[in-house]
Amino acid sequence: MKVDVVRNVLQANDLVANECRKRFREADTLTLNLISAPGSGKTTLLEKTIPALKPAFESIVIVGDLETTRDADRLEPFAHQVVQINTGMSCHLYANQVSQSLDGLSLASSQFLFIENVGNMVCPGEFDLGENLKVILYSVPEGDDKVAKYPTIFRVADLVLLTKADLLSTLAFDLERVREEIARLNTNVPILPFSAHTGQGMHEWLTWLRARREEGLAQAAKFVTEPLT
Amino acid sequence: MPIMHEFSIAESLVEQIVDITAENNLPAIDRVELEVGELRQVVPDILQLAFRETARGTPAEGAALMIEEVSARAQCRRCTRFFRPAPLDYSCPACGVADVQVLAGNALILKSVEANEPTGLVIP
Repeated sequence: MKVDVVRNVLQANDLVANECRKRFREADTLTLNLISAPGSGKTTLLEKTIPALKPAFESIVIVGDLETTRDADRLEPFAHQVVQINTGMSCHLYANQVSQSLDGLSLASSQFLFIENVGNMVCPGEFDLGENLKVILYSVPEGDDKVAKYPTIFRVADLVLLTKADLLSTLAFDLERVREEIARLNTNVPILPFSAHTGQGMHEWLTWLRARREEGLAQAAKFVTEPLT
Repeated sequence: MPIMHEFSIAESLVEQIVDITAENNLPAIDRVELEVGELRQVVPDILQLAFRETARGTPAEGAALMIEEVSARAQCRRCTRFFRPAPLDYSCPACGVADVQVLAGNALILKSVEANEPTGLVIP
């Protein structure tokens, strides 16, 4: 017996993600999904960003890692609330993990929700968490050949933060090559050199964040899975 | 378990098959048809391995996974031209800008599941 179904394989995740997005909109909280390789500076970015957004804006962080609460411990002093999700052997966050975390959070008390995804350049791009925007961190020490290796994530990015940019003058990193390869995938995405060490790009990053909040929360991030037509 | 996106996909796929099996009161599944867009960069052999491992202990255990690859198709938002993007190049052949609506090639669609019919059992 054959059953014809025609279902999006990731449908279960996408339905929960849409529920999350609705809750973010109702709470008036702009949600960003931070995606990068391990060690690119996601937690350090948040350590610098969250205090700089105060007092105008409060932030909540949901952070995913395979193990430990190290990132949550680092962010606790800065964020209004922090939730650590341990994913065990899973290399990305699922929407239902975010959904469950929301039950213990007072979303409406914060204007920004940062989801620090598990360090991974592949799978997080495929799983909608209900976010409004995707920010990709790409650190200079990773080398200038990563765009072509992980194209999906650059294609759906709303902003590429080129972190540890103070090392551009030290390392052989061809910034033009990176710009060209990103432009072939996603011409309109801004690429912002950023250094938590020197403060380079901090002003532009904060300006970008505030501008996205001004634009409102109606938008959904781009996804690799297009809706079934 | 290796950390690869084929495993995440296989996990979601098996969950769906388990649901469909329950909804339709099916016995064990022996054939599954899956449509995979070429832009997903799925490695068929790894997906087969991931499916075989993930399906263990579920009604999908031992089922044959038939993977059909679908070509990419996109429309340029700038100049409205239709074209076939490559995994590393989404720029429009007409205007050179990579700002597209992907129309095909990104999907992961479960198309059908087929249950084996045990000999001697007549399904009304």
